[in-house]
Amino acid sequence: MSLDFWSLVGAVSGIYAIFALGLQLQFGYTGLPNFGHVASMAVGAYTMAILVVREEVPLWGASLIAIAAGVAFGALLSLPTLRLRAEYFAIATIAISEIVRYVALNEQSLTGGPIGTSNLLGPTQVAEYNGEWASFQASVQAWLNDVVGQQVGSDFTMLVIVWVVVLVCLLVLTPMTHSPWGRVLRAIREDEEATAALGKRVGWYKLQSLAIGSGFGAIAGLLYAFEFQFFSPDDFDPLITFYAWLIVLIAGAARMWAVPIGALIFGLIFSGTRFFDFKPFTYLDAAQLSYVRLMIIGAFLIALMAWRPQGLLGNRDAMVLE
Amino acid sequence: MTALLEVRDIVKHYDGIAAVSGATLDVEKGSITGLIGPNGAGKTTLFNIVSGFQRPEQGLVSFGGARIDHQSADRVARAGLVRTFQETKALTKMTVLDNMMLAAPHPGERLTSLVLRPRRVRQREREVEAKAREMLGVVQLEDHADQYAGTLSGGQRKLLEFGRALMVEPKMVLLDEPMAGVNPTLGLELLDLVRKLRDSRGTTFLLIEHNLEVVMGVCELIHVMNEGAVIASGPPAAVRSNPQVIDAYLGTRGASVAPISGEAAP
Repeated sequence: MSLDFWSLVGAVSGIYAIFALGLQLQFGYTGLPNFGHVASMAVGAYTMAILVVREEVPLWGASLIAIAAGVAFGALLSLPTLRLRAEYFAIATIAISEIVRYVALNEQSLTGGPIGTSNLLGPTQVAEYNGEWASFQASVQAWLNDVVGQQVGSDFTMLVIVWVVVLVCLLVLTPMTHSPWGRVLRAIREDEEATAALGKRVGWYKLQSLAIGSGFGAIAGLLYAFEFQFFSPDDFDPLITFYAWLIVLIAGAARMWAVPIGALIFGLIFSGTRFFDFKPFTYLDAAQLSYVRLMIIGAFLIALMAWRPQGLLGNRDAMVLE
Repeated sequence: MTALLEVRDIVKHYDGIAAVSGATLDVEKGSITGLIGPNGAGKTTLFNIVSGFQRPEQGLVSFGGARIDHQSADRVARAGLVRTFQETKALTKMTVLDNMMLAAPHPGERLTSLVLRPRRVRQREREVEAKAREMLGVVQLEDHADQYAGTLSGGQRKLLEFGRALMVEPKMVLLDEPMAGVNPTLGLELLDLVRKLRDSRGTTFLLIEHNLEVVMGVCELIHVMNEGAVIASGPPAAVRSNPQVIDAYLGTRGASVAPISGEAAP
């Protein structure tokens, strides 16, 4: 397989890594089972695209506003849901993420509807938000050509950009989670009452965790939009949330650095099924094979829960303590 | 002496059954006060109400002159009234040291301080760690500092919770059966510590305890609850010889449940 293909796999894995870092903060550290995380990605991507296309906001400004919108979305998400117990919180968040997707599907005048972002200016012209990004990416590519000393592809360029962002996200999140602030989050994950009894504003910390985690979801949404140059509501299917869950479960709760590794493992499983060109898989067509891929991911998840409930990279000692 | 904690006519039902019915008591500032009574008398429910974990249907609670009966548990704790739990709530997947350090008020719990005042946060972190280790020494858990709290025994968890509550630097501590499961020698040392803290810092203690010898030994004043009300209040000797208290402990019913002490509601 070509370098371009693996670059694409790596870049997409990196985007999922950033997405899953947000969930790791929310679930791995704070114990909030957010099953609607994909909505933060949608909010980020759509905010940027709408501002660039409709309001002609410069891309970088629109991206910053999009991240802020993701943070605000997470904060809003917390208001009706934080008093709910874990199971109900999970149900409420998945419903909210579907509401976001249905709004994107049906508010055609705002989002372009089911056709996606190319419809943002109506059916008569094709809308694009990607111009500034394309020129930025081209300049990074030119710089990489100099550094590497040979021509690199645009997929490889994207791979480098995405993983630089992954690294920056890790460098921001790791000290946060190792701080006294992160200690309070871990305490909340274990026992809200005990934490409140020590004078900590549990609701306020949950709000911060949801808001910041959603901000990372929005960053992932931006990179997703830049990578694929076009998106529609179908890109923010609840399935995407479960990819992030799979990554977090591989990584194990409360380990930030393990999340990108989990994302790479996920990317390998996800793309690895392309190489099923032997029997019995040759009896299936491409569409059927893509379902096999999901079945394999499901089987992997079940096996993981059975044999390593703490995650591939997690800590079993802490897992079994009551 | 003035009352630091005032509890007046608290009423609380569960599914129509009265758990607390008109409980009234005072805790003097700087005192060590006991709260005793048979199982089901409503002691822990009263603790839950005082500490903000449950709302009373009627009545009021004031702490240091301010009403706290409709404040959240975290605000009550920040006001300086900290509790422990009958069923300990050790944070099992965190280390013993982290359990202790968590409890201390800390500027590093605010993201803005982490960004804007990192040196202040690091300095406080060192202070908190030193204090946490010192306190772990006091409750004799210093050798377990880096273990997960989930590896501790029941009695050790009681000690951890006690030490953790003190890390908040409270004005008053509510101890719910602090001696349960703690070995007797260490339990006595714990009581010594309670006395010392009261003498040195003026910390006020209210404790629920089933071991009457312990309560009579350490408390200056004892409130006795039965069937949701405070039936007697007074120094240990007076409470010990009070016929209603004897009735309550022997399970005799039908006695008057009106408060008999001069400390009761006005």
